Amino acid sequence: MPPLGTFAFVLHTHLPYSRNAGRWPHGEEWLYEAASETYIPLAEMLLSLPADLRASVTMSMTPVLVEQLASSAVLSGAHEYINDRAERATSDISRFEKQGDVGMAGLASYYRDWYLARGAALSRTLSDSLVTPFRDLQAAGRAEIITSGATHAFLPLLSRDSSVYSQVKTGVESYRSHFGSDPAGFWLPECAYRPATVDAAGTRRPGLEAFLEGQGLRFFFVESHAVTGGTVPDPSDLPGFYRLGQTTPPGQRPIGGPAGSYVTARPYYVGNSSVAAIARNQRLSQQVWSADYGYPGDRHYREFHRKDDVSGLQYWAITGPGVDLGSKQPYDPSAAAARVSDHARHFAARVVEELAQQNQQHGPGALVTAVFDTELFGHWWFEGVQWLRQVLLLLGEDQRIRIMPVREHLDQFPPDAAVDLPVSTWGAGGDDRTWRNDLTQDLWDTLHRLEPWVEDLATRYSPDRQEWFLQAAREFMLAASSDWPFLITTGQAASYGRRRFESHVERFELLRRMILADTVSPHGRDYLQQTMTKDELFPDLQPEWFTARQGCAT
Amino acid sequence: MLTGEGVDVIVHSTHEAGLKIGGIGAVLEGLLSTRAYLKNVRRSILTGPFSFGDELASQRLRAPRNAFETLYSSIDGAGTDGPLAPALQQIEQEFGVRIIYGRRTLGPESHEVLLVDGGNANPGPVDDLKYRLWQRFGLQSDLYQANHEYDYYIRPALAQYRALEVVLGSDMERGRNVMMAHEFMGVPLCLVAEMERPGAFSRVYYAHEVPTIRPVVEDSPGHDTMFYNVLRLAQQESVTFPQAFGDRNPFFKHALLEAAADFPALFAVGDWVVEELSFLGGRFATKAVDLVYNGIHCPEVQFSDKMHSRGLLQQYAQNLLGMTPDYVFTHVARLVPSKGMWRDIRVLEELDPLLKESGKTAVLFVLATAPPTGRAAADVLRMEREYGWPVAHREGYPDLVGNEVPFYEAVSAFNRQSEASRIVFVNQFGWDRERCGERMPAEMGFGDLRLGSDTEFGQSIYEPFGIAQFEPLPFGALCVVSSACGCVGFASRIPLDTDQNIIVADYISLPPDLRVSDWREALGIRQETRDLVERFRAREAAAVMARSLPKNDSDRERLMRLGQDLARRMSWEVVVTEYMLPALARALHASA
Repeated sequence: MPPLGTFAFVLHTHLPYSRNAGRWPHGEEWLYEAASETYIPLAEMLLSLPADLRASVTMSMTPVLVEQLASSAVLSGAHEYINDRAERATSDISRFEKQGDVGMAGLASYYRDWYLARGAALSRTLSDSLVTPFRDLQAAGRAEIITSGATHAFLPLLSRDSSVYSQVKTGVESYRSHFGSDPAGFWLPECAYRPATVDAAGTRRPGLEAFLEGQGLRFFFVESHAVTGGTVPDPSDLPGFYRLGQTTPPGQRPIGGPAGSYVTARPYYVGNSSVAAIARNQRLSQQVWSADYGYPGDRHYREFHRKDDVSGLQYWAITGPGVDLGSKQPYDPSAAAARVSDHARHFAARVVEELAQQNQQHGPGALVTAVFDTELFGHWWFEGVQWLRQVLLLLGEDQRIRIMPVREHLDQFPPDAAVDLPVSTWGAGGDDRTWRNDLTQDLWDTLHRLEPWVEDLATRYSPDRQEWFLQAAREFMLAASSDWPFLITTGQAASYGRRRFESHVERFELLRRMILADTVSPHGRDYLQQTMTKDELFPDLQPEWFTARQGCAT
Repeated sequence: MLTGEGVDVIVHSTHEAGLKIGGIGAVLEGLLSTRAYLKNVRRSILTGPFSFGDELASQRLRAPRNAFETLYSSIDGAGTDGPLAPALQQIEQEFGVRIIYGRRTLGPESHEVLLVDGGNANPGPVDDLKYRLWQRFGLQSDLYQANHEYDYYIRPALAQYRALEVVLGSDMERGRNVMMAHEFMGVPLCLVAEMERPGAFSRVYYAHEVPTIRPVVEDSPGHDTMFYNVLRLAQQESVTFPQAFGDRNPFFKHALLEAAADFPALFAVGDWVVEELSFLGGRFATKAVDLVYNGIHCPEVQFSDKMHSRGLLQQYAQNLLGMTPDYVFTHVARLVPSKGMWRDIRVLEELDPLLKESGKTAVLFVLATAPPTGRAAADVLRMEREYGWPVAHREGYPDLVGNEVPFYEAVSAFNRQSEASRIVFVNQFGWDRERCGERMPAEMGFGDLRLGSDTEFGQSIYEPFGIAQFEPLPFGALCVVSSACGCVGFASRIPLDTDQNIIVADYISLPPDLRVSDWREALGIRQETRDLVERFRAREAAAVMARSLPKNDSDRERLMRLGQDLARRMSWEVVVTEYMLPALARALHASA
C-alpha cells in the first residue's frame, strides 16, 4: 500500500545578532541559552537516532545566526555558560541539602548532570564550531538545512530591491560558505511574502519569489491563510485540537488571498516562477505552537518563568493553567517524561489522520508541514527535544507515511499548479502589524532614508574605503533585522530593540560619513576596526550586491 | 551705562530670594555686589516663593552665614507691630499664605527680601488666578497642576504681588521700575504684575538657561554634539526646535518660558542661550535678546599664596598616593550628567603619555558628590581608616551611591592603566580635614583647591555660562572647558590672547570625516558619534594642555598675571557696566 503522503517537520532557527551587544538580560546570553538548551540537545538527539530510521527534518538556519555560531568566541562562551550552569546546580545541591530539602537537591542533581552531559557533548562532537553538528546532520541525511534573509529582515517593507536582493544573495552565499553546498529552500523572515508591486516612482517591483528564483532557490514557506484565503483562524477552534484550557480567541480578520480553492497540502508554484510556496498546516503546527493551547502547557512540564532566586535555575512545574508563580509545584522529570510519550503518540496519530484526510483529496502527493521555531524545543519547552525524538521514532517507523525534507518531496511530487499569493505573514492578523505600527513607524522611515544611501555608496566609494563600505552595508543589514520592531511592538525588550536599531543606524551613518570624507582620521580608522570586531559577520560580502536594481530581482 | 536717573527699583523674582541654592543665587551675589549696580539701581527687592515647612531651608535662611535679618514674620512673631505689619497680615489672611519680609546682605549692602509660602493658600484666589493666566496669557494650568513644582511657583504669586505693593509703597508709582524674572520660576509674579497693574514694571526675563532645551541635551546620548549640530543646521533651513524635536507644551517649564516671550526684554546668560531661545521659534524667533553674561570673581592674591595652596595640594597627593605630582588638576562640580565628568578622564587618557614623555606627573582631584550634603565626618574617618577612602571606594552609602558608582569605575579603570597621572575622586561636600579625612593637611581649605590648581576642568554638555569653570582663572590655572559653556563666548570677546589660559575642547564641531549634511542627519548623532568626537577633541585638548602647562614657577607666575588680567575683564563689574546696564536701559525704553 503506497504511503498516504509526506509529513515535514520544519524548524525555523533564528536569533538576532547578539554578540558584543549586551549580555544579560538581553544580548549574548540569548546565544548561550539557545545553544545549551536547544541547539546542542537537538543536534545530539538527531545524530543519535537509529541509523535505519527513515526520518529527517527541514531546518531553516538564518545566516545571521550561523555566522554567530561559527565564531570560536561563541563556542567558548557556550562552554563557559554550560559550566557555569553546572556549577550553579552543584551549589544548589549543597544549599538544598543544608536546608534538608531532599527533593530539590535531587532536582539540582538532575540539572547538574543535564548540563554536564551537554558540556561533554559540546567537547566531544562539537569541538570545531557550533555549526559543525548541523553540517553533520545534513551530511547524515537527518536534516535538510535551508537559508534565509541575511539578517532576517522583514522583506516586504524594504523599499529598494537592492535591499531585498542583498538580503537574499548574502543569505545564499553565507550558506554556501558554511555548508559547502547550494541551499534549496529559503525561509522568508516572519513568513512575510509580498507579490510584485509598483513603487512610488511607478517602477514595477518583482515579487519576492523572483529574488529567490534568481538565486536558484526552489521553495519557501508561507502561513496557511496565504494559500487558503479566508480568515486567520483561532487555532483552539480547530477540530482535534489538544485543548489545555480556555482562552480568548484572537481577533479574526479576512485575508485577501485566493478564495477556497487552494489547500495547504499541496505545494504550488508562485505565479510564473519555478519557486514553490509551501503553506504550513495550522492544525498540526498549533498543536505544539502555543504554550496556552498546546502540549508545552501541560501541568507536568517544567515552568519556564519561575527561577530560583539564588541560581536562576528552573525547579518548578507548570502545575496548572493560571497558577501564579509562587504556587508552582516542584518539577518531576519522570512525570514529565510520561507526558512526553503521551503527547508524542497523540501528535503522531494526528499526523496520520491529517495525511489520511489529505490523501483522500490529493492522493499520495499530499504534503503536510508542521512549522515551529526551533528555540521552542528545549529552551522554552524543556521537554520538547525529547518529544520531537519520540515523534520522529513513531513516524519514522510508520510505513503509512513518508517523513522527509521538503526538497525530497518536491523532487518526487513537483507542483502541478500555480498560485498568486497575497501579502501575508505569520504574525498577528496575518499582516505586518507586528512589525509596522505607530511604535515602529520611525524605524521604517529611517530604513527607507538609508536604503538609497546604501545604493549610492555602493558605486561611489573610493577603493581605499571598501572596508568602510562593506561594514556600513553590514550595519545597514543589521538595522533591518525584523527582531527590533518585533521586540518593540511586543514589549518583550522594547528599549533594547530600539537601542540596537539605533546603534546599527548610527554605525552606518558614521561609516558613511567617513566614506564620503576626503580623508579619514586615525580615529576613524580605529572606529572601523572596532566596529568590524563588534559586528563581525559576512566576511565575503561583495559591494555589487548592494547596487541599485530597482525593478530587477537579479 | 544707564543714562539719566538710573533705575528706581529692580524686583528680582527668583526662587533663590531667601538663600543661595544654585547658580541664580551666585549670579545675584555677583550682580548685587558691584559698584556699578549699586550706583545705578536705587532699590532692589528679592522676592520669591518659600516653603517654611522645609526645616532645612528655614534653618539655612536664618543661619548667620546667610546674613538675613527678619523685619516681619508672622511665623516668628517678628515685626508684627511694624508699619507694614497690618497690611501684610491682611494679605496673609485673605490668601491663606505666610510672609516673611526682611533684609539680606549680599556683598557690601543688604537688600530687601520678600518671601511668600503659598503651600496652604486659599484655593479660590489660586483657581481664579489660574483662570486669568489662561485667559490673558494662554497658560494652561490644568495641564500642569498635578505638578507640585508648578503649583509651588503659581500659588503664592498673587499674594506675593500684593505684598510687594505694600513693601514698595510709593515706589510703585515711579516710572523706572524693573521686574526681573530669573528663569521660569520668576515668571508667575511678572505675569501677575502685568495683569494687576500694567506697565508698572518693565518686565525682564533673564534666561540663565533654557529649561526646554536642557533635558533634551542631557537625555540624548549624543548630548551637546547632537543638539548644537541640529540647532546650527536646522536654523539654516529655518527649522525650529518643535519641528526638529517635537512639541514640548506639556512641559510646564516650557509653558512658563513661553509666557515670558512677550516680556519687553529678554536677557540671556550666554551666546548659546541666545541661540536656543531663537531656536524655540514662535514669538522667540524674532525677539531681540540681550546678552548679559555672568561675571568672574577676581580677588587680589599674591603668587606666594598660590604656591602655598599648591604645596598643600601636593602634600595631600603625597599623603594619599605617595607621590608629589608636578601638576595638580582639579574639578569641582555637582555630580550630574550635564557636567560631562567623563570627559576629564578622556583628556587625561590622552595627556598621560605626553606627561610620561616629558617626565612629569599629575594628580586630578575631583570634588563631587551625589548626595548634596556629602558624608558625615565620622563616616569619612571610618572609611579612610578601613579602606583608604578617598583613593579607594566601596559601593553603598556612606560611600558610593548613584552616579558616583559608574564614575568611580571609570576613575579606577583610568588609574589602573595610567603611568604618569592619577585621579582621586573625593565624593564629599567640603574640602577640609574634618570633611575629607586625616590625610588632608590641617590648614587646607576650599580656597586652596581653587588657588593651588594648575588646571581646572569643566567640560559640560550643557552649561549656559559656567562660573565655576573659570573660578581658578585669576589664580593662573588653565581652564579646560567645553565649547558648550557660555563662558567661552564671553572670553572670546575679550581683546586678549586667551588661549594661554583657556583651552576650549570643542565637542560640537564635527571633524571633517564625521560631518553631517543636514539637521535630520545630525539628529542621528548618538553615543558612538559623540564618543568618536570626544576622543578626537580630547586628544587635541591634551596636546594643547601639554604645551600650555607651566614648565616652571616663572611660567606659573606669568599665567597668573594673564589670568588675573583676563578675569578682571570678565568681572561682575564689567558685566554690569557693559552688558546689564545698557540692556536695562533698552528694557526701560522698550517698556516706555
